[in-house]
Amino acid sequence: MSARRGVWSDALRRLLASRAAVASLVTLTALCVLALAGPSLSRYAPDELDWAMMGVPPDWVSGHWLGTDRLGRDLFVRTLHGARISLVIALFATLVSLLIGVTWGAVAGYAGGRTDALMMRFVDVLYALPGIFFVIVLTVVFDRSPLLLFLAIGAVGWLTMARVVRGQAIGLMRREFVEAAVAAGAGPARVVFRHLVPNLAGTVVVYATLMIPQMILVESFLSFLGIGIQEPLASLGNLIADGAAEMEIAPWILLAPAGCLVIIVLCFNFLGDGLRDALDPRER
Amino acid sequence: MALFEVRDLAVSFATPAGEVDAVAGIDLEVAEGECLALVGESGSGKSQALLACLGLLAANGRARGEVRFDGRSVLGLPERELGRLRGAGIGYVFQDAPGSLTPHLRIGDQLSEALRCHHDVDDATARAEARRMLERVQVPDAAARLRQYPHELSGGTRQRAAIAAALMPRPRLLIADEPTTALDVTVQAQVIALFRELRRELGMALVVVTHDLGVVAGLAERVAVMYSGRIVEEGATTGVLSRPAHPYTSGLLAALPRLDDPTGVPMRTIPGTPPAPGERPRGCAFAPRCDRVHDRCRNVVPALAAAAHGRVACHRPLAGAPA
Amino acid sequence: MNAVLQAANVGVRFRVGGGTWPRQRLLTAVEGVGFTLGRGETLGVVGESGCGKSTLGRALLGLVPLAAGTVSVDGHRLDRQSDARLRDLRRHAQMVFQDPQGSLDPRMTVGQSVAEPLEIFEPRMSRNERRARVAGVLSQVGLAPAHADRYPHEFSGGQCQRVGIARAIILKPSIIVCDEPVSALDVSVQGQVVNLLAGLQGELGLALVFISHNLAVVRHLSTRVLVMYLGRPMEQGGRDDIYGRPLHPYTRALLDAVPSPEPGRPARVPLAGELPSPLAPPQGCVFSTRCAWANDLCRRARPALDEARPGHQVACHRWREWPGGVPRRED
Repeated sequence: MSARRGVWSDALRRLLASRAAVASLVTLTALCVLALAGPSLSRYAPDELDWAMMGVPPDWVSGHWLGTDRLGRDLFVRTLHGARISLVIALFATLVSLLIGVTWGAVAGYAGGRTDALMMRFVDVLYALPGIFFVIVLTVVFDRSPLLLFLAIGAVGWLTMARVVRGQAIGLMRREFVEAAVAAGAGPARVVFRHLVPNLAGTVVVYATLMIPQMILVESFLSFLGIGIQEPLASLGNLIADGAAEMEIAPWILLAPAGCLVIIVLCFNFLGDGLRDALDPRER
Repeated sequence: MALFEVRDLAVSFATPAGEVDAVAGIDLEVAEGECLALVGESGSGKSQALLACLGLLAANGRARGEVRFDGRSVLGLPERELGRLRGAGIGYVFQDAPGSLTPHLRIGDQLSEALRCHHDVDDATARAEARRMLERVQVPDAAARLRQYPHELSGGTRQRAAIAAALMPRPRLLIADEPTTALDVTVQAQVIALFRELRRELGMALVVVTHDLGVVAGLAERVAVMYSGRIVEEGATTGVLSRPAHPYTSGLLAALPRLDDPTGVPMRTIPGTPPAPGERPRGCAFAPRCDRVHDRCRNVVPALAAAAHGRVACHRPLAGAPA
Repeated sequence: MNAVLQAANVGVRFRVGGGTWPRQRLLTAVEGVGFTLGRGETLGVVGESGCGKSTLGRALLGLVPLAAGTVSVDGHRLDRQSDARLRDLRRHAQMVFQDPQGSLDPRMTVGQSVAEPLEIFEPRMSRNERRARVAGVLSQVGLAPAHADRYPHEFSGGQCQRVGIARAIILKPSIIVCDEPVSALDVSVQGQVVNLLAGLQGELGLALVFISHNLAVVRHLSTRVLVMYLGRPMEQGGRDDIYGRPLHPYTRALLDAVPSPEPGRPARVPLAGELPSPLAPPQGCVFSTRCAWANDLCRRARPALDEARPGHQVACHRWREWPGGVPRRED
């Protein structure tokens, strides 16, 4: 009992006690390592066409562990490659929405009153615009670059984050330690960034973890529609789109990327749940 | 036979640092219609002991020992039986009583539901009874209050409403956990007077958990003082308050701010803080803060033994000089 | 006597209801409070919750804006100051809060919390010097310097309150406003905190404003006592006057409500009913709806704050009838 424990190390200990969260963490780490190093494990390149093996099911002898698509490209490599791009886009999109959303929400929650009302009405208006259309319009008007894609997704995703953060910030503003900081002489910036944001970190981490799979799904959806990542680049979305076209004759083309997507989304959700339990202040 | 009987009750919590004892074996007895005050500071285990009696411990808590209500053993009862016992047999007013009202239900609905959970009565009867009970706890303009939500009431009225909710199923024993702590002194006096009156009218037994000896005097016939998971002194209220035998009881009495204290001298206090449940010293838990401590106190836990007006767990009890 | 805290005719009003909507009502939280406090003196502010005593405390530090009157701290007027200037004045006046744990940021170590005022007001101070100052005030409030690296949840309520006091004194202010600093603490620890405040007051020559709902607690520290009801001063005077010869029936009621452990003396109910809504204060004397002595005049006209004796003021129509103080009502 006498061992000194910080708030974060406490949470980490609780997180490591949750089997589902640890399993997810391990799986995700493994997947990330594979996604980064994976393509070099296989003897095939993602855009290399194997003329001898077009549309073959998983086959250990040839080294096409998950089979090939109808152009003879190796699905193992392409799936990992797609996972890498999907993950990177999701991470950056989440980061973008995190930055905008946390700042926006914390400032609105801190300011309160009319400023808060105005800032949140602005969020409401953006909410009322269908986000996906917004992204589609953006990608049509500008070039279809991956950079633009994650900016666009992130710019839509921050709305919910801002709402969540603002709700929490309002709760925190009523706590005595915030008033104590003001009474001690702290200015607005100090209150927001030294007292509000660190205390929001728990919620934000949980929410961001749950946001990543959403972002992956949005990206996949856009790519599935054909306005996301373009061939010959692979993302989980356009791989699934390819696979869906041949679902009846060559199901493995769909199964490889779809399975990967399901695993990633499930793992992030389990991890988010575990984090929420670990950071839940009620138990403290 | 006692209505409510606790024998050797121990409560422990599983924590990352191991099993921590919050309550280390206590005995309590409440006769029909009697009022017992369980006194102790935060961390003394007083609330956990009573929560354990009703099967309301947190998930990592464990209770051992024996608890009997009306002759029936309570610990280990299946949840359904416990539910029937809570409310109808034993009412509980929580520490944060105003917070124990559901915010989105009108007072009237909450009160009548509390009755209908336990007794087979129709809605109209329950509502009439809710109104009567609200009047009984001296809420002014009861009929109007029934239609209001908890947040529309003042702190004192919410406290009364929470008490009324606990009383609706007509429990034979009411346990009130720190019923006055969050209240102003003026409202405290009102709530104490209310409990006195309710006992007279309804004839129920009452266990009041408090850290304030000032509350005890006007209310309880018997008092049990807890310190760090054990009962250190127990007996008739008049005896314990006028001639405390345990140095802790005596210290608590002296520390209570009074209007006739001398000014210009420091307030009397008990030095130090109570030990955390996991860091209890080997001998008497009060030894590090006690001004009468000697070697034996540091090594041997004193047992409850007969004293002039009850029982005391101390190797060197005070002779019973007035505090 | 050189006054470090002067308040004259202080009024605070809040807008309630309706967010941005213009259908708002004004709630008078504090009205007509005035006093002067010198070095080493303590003003006890007493009343039930909702009587405006906490709002008054915050107004004295400029944490809520004044609607009327003036407050000066160390000769600097608090009203009509810019936010930045107001913050600067905070180094002279600090605050100790009711909830010992809740007033400390759970994500900061105790040392960081105590050092925060220094970081704000002395940003150029070196790390080592700051650490030394923190260690110094921690030992001043009876904690070990090693406690600086721990988090609030590792401390008991009494220890957290000591940390709160350390944070309040680290800038060597001239005034500390204590808002119910002991009412959340166990009885055996309350006295420790009161004694600590008294000791620091002597050491540092602090002027204290000590807010509480319990007159018995206030009595130990106060040189003067202000009794408030529904935002208005009811009675104000030296300690011995207030406790020995209270001239206001409300003060009498608060005195009678102090719980006593004397066996056999049943707790008295000195005051029935509840505080009226501050949005619709009673006509006449605000206390008239609950006062056992109220007559027609009380219900009609608001009594002025009379100087009953030098330094003893009371707002009651009938104080002249009780030269020895309001008698106890035996009911």
